[in-house]
Amino acid sequence: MSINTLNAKQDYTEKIESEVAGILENTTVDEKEKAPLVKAIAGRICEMVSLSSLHERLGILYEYEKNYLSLVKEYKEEIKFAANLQEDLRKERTKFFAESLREVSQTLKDAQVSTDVASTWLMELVNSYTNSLNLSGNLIDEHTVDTIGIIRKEAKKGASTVKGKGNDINDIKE
Amino acid sequence: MILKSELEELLSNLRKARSILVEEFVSENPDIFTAMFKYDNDNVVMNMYIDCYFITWLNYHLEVFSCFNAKSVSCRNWFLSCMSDLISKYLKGVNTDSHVYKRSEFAYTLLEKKKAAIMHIIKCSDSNKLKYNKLVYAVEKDKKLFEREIAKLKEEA
Repeated sequence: MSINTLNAKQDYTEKIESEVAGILENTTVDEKEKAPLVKAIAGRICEMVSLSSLHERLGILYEYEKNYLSLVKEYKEEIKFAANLQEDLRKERTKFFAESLREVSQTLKDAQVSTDVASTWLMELVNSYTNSLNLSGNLIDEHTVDTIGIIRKEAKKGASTVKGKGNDINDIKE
Repeated sequence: MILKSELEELLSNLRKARSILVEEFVSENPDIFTAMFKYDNDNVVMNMYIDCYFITWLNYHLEVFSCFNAKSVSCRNWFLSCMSDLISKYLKGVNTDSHVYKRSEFAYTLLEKKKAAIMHIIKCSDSNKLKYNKLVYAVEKDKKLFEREIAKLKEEA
């Protein structure tokens, strides 16, 4: 619990105590018993208020998380689709540099192409291949960002429904 | 946002084009290997062959993007933006720590024109079918232009 929250709780308790003391001021309660009575009543009120508030807040958090989980479930296939595309591209990039390029290089060597000529062609091959790989990566990223945008939009819609119940989810999250 | 199926098709076309690159080197494609041996002492002609080969490869993308008209406008524009990006990368050339490959002026002009044509299609999406066909037909034209340019270089040599 943060210092701010502790201070706020203390202020709140003092306020309740002062209210209770005010109510008991003109009563026949013995002066010696007043102070502990005020403390006991104020303590009990604070406890009940805080329990009810906690219950309400937990309810809001639950709704919020439930909304997120149902969104993840709803977009499961989309998320899987984007992840698979990224994985395939990563595998292809690794295969190109680990296997294909070596194979091409060996073919050029076996064919006895001069080193300078082979290196110029190879450089252009690597350049073209990686440019195309990067382009595919950008397409996948763009699609993923679009999908995340849709999920966020849906999540915001859900959050505003929870907010509408009289509380702000951001206050709770803090 | 484009459809999943459209994205898959775009990615598959790009992947297919990449695999062709590797296959042609591994299978000792005569177009590549003949140039490698015949002009290993003539950098200018050799570089022209390199430009011709890789621009032909770029053009291949335009040919395989079939049923252009059947695709959604966003898909077409995505594909055309891809092509424009690829061409921009070619225009930058290749510059590594150990090697600088300078593309021929002829290739630069051709790529600039191609990029401008693509950008024009993206801007005026209404009439892009006809203009796209012109872009595809330019594939044959590019080959012929390269042949002429190479023949000219050989004569000069």
